[in-house]
Amino acid sequence: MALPIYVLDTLFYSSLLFLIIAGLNLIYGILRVVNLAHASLFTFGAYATAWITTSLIVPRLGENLLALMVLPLVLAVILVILVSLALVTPLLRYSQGRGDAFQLIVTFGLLIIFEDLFKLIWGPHPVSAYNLFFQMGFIDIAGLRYPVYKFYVILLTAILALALWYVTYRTAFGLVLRASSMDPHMATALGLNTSRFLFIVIVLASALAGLGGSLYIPVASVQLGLSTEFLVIAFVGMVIGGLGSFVGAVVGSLIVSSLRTLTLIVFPELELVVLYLVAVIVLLWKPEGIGGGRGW
Amino acid sequence: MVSRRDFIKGLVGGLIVGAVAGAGAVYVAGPRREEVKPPEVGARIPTTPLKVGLQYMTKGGGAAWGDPTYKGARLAIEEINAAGGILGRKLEFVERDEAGADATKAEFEKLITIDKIDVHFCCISSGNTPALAPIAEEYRVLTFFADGCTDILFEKVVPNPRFTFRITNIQSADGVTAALGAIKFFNLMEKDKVRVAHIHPDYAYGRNAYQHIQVVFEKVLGKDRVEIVYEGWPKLFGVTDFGPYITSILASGADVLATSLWAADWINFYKQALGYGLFKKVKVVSTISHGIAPHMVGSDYPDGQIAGVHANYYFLYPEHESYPLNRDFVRRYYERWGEYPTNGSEGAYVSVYLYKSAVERAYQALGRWPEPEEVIPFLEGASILGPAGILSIRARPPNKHQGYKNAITGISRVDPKLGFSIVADPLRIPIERVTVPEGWEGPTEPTMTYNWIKATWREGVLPI
Amino acid sequence: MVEAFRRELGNSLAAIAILVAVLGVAYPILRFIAPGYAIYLTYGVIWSIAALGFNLLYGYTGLLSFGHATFIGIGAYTVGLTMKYLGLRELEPMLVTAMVASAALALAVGPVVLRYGGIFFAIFMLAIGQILWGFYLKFYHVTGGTDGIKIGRVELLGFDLGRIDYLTYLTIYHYYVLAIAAIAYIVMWYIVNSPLGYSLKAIRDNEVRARALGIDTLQLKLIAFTISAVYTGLAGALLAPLTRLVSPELAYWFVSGKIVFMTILGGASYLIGPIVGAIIYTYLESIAMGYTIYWYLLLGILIIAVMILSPRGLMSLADSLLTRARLRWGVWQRPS
Repeated sequence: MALPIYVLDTLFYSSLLFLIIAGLNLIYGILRVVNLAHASLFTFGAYATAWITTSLIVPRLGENLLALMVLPLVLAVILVILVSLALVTPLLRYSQGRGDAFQLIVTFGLLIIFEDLFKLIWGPHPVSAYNLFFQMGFIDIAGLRYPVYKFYVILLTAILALALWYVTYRTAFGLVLRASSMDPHMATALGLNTSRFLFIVIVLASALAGLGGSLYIPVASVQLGLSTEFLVIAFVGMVIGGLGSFVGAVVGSLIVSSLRTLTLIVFPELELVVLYLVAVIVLLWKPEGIGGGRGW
Repeated sequence: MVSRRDFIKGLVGGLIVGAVAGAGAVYVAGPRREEVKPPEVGARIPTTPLKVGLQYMTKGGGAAWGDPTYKGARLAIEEINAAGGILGRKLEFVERDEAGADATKAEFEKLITIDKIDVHFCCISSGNTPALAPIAEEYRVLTFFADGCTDILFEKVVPNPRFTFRITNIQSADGVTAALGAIKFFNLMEKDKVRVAHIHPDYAYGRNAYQHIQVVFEKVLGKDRVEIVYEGWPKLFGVTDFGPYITSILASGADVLATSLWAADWINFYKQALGYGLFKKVKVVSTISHGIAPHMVGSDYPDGQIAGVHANYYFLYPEHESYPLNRDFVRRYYERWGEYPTNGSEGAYVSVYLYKSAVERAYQALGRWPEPEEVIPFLEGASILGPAGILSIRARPPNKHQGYKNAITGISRVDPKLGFSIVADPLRIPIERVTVPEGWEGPTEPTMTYNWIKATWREGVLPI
Repeated sequence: MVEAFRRELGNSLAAIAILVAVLGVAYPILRFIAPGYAIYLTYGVIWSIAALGFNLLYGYTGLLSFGHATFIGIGAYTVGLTMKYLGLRELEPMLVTAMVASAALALAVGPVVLRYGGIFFAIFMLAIGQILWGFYLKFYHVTGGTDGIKIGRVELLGFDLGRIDYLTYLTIYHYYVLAIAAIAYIVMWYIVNSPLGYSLKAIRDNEVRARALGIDTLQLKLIAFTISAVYTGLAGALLAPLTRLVSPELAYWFVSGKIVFMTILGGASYLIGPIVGAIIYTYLESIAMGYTIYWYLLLGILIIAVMILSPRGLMSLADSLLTRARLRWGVWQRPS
């Protein structure tokens, strides 16, 4: 009787993961940089949404469903993009081509800077804004109650993934995207405005992460350390799906989320261990990942 | 009842043995009753301020718990300073972070070696007290744990402590009290079969709560009537989306959910569980749901669940009309911080006053400022009247240096006047009925209380 | 010219000797003027062994491991578990066991993970580290979970130190650690100046060419990986008696990041770079943490600043300052 709920929860969690992994893969695919600070933008989106919801929207507009659905999300994503432009974009651009060690260390530095910025701005306490979660109500599925909000997130992410797929495979921009993820030099040689192009890629990736955080916050609280919690899991998904690929992001997030649910049901003791073991097995068996190997 | 007699015998024994100094002494926590006259001129008391270390998890997921505890200690320090300090010495505090065991221990060592504290007040987490106690003993620093209540601390890690004391009720009492509360309020004695789901944080506290809830259920209800249908062990503050856990609990068909999730973990869990309608299907027994700052337990918290306060203290009890010490404490705390105190606040507040009283007594006996070693006899076997009632420090093993006060739990109910869910219908349990008595000898694995319950409780009988 | 300087300043036995002497003399001085900070010297020396091991792989072979906390964990838990279950108190057999266990793990996973370079190797090591971290965390009944394993006082060279004053115990432990570190430093000097060291550098500079020259690169990398693991495992084992507690935190990936940063901070292209980096980092951490709760912010800015302004570390900064000074005052005499 609980099977549909498990499936829905798995989809919900993989939606959040997808939004993070897609950005990680986008950046890796185009810039060949593994951005350890990427999940921090997710966390930033979550904090910003909670703050906007509880201090701007609810006091002025009350528990208005439409306002709660649209305004915090849009404002938070804009904020995340601004922060990304100020902090992340310049560093990623600088890191490009400077070697794995340089990139890992610099983005690691950025990751811990973000942790303290969160503490500085929002304090050490967990922050939450459950308003939307309760406002959207609940429905009965197979005799159990289930929050409508989670449907909404699954649906929204699915639409977004489709849109990304469309852009990637059906537009001129997507063609460039795929071409440069396979061979960055070739793209430049073909007369691509690399600087503007990279700019768009980083902003897009940041917006996805911010959106993820914004969608996450009505379900649970955000607290210090959330970035690393999601980062390591997203990393596993990235490896399983395949570094730098769109299909990899879809496959990776679904597999990681399913594994998580399965281990939680069957043998909760081993949740983390199983995730990493699978990552190692995939690396051994197919280093390019299950859904990867063909660039973004 | 055997257990009670043993306890009293132990207490009397303690009185005789402890005739040295502290035993039998009753101190009072609070700013008003100044019994000790300020020292005469020329008395041998250092003129420097007294350096006090504070370490109470005020960051991260534990802050919902650590922050009020910290505020309790601060209030006591401010009150004491306003009244002239301890024997004229002002208290100066240095705060460092409590986090994971490694980091907490490192910060504690800095407090000792760099900040040069004279006395230390600390610790929320049961993972940290066993890490800190040996260090405190090595450096000979008087240390008062407000919480971090694990049984193993004084049963296994430092079975014969000198410098470390703990104020909160021992951890096993928490699980035992919650289980007894569930049996009583949910009328479990009348059920043929009780299906129990468990969800606890994956560390010492969660394991301990699990074991003691289970042992009480199995002893009082009988082994055959209790069935564990689900166990979940999320990492402490490591899980935010409890969806799959909640679904599993619902799918298990449990009657009762026993939990010791706390602070941020518990808030996330109950909010999400509301969405899944968990409280409509399962009765929830929490050891600690109402242990955070009272106003943080929202008005959406479901009524009629076992509302744990760590078996220690809830600000409404003892009732203010009949016990002014509590009424005044709550009022002063509210005036200072704009919120109501928690059991952590009470514990930290009492720790500071306990230290003050013992130092003053030692001074009266010695005629000079006592060395840390010289304060110890005035703490062992001593009692102090605090906001929660009387607290006694045990002088002999097992659990030497552990503080004991009566345990409490109750039923959650939203109070329309206060605007949040409170602990109603308080069930007060004399502590000697739920914890291993002084002088009892038996195995320490997993805890002595566990084995004491197994060995001495009568099956099928509710011992309260 | 620069190469000669580098040899002089950062890579010679003399430099190692001076460093060890400084670390030996500084301890009583610190104990006297700032007693609280003396213990971090011991921590720094221990971390330097780990960073040195890490750098054989990174600086000399060109392999970045983002999971060296794995071996810190192996070392520390070897001490913890043997103490808890075998009741052993003599540290030396525990150190040997820790080194053997680290080598065994390296030899087991090495042939597999070393097939990949670059980011894959980094992630692989991270994953292995996290698997072990998960085990420490979840196998509660063996490892004590997050509560960890408490470490009592150890016996050093057969002497029971259980009854002496704690500060004396810490002092003795410092010199014990320093003696082991000195041996580790010297052995590392021999390794990097041996044919093995030169072959590793050849792999770092151009693996394809090295292979073409007939170097069995996989085998050599495995040797370097194993030595690296042994060093870091030794450091993990030495940490345990000082932290007095072995918990999963020691094996968390954040610790791997710390080891990487120590090495970069000091300078990966100098033999003593990681040592200098480890000690400076340890003090930076302990001092900054005491003065600000926003210590990570500082550290993050520092990491990025070092990477951008002086990617070759503090040693290279000292190097260039020294070169400039000598050129300016015209004392440049050394023939190269």
